[in-house]
Amino acid sequence: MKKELLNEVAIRLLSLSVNEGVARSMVSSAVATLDPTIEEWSDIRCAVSEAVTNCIVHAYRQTQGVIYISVKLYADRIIQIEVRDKGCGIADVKEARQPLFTTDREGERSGMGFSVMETFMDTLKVYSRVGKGTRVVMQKRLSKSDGRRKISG
Amino acid sequence: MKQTTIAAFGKYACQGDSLIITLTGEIDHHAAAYLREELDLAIYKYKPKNVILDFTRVPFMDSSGLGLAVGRYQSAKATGATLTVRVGKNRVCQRIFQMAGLERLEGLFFEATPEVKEKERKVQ
Repeated sequence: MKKELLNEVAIRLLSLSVNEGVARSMVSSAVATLDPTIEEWSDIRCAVSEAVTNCIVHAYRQTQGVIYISVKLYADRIIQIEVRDKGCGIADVKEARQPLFTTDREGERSGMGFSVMETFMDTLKVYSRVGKGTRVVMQKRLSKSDGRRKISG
Repeated sequence: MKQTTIAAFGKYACQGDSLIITLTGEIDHHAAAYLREELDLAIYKYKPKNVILDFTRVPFMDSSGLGLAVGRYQSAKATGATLTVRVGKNRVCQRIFQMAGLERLEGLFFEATPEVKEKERKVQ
């Protein structure tokens, strides 16, 4: 059965590294309306940061493109975050998801981006087509709220 | 003791044989790209015996912080120094560093304080 959608926020960003922080702030503002714990909140910020960095560093590389983020808040405190790009795509998603795998040694990338997303979220799905782009969909279920909303903005 | 600030990201100072780098900003790919150059300049300039990279007060870090630490480990090694990564009670940093198994690297020391239970704590 499909969960009831309570709220949706869509964000469009240019693939500039300065927008990594912007993306984190905007997504965490949307997520904060569900009153997450500080752990859940910082886990989500981290996962978003990894996904957006991948778009900037890998998908668009030396070029500039648009990153599309959608945040959906469902009933039962489920958060779904989708990060999409129209960049170069990933030839072998299974290989890219391996811990420590990176195509960018020069840039000091650790190759842990997908591992962090996997660890900090409940589910992670990666859809990609070479030359078309990549779509990362991740979900996390928040623990029960005590009814007092403490994060603002 | 002379302190040098690194934009909004932190500061460093020499203390005896050690170069102590205290990071205070959000460490993402954007910050790391800037920090790597600044920190390498300091490491090659002062040629300390130990480089201490302190993440204790970092409010946010993703895997870029890991790349930053491993990169500085290599710079330290090239100048004959060791690297100490200090995370204190910083939970996000602890989890990311432990995920990567940095303690396996020779000449890299990882210092963390056992986590306090903060599951129930919320952002004030």
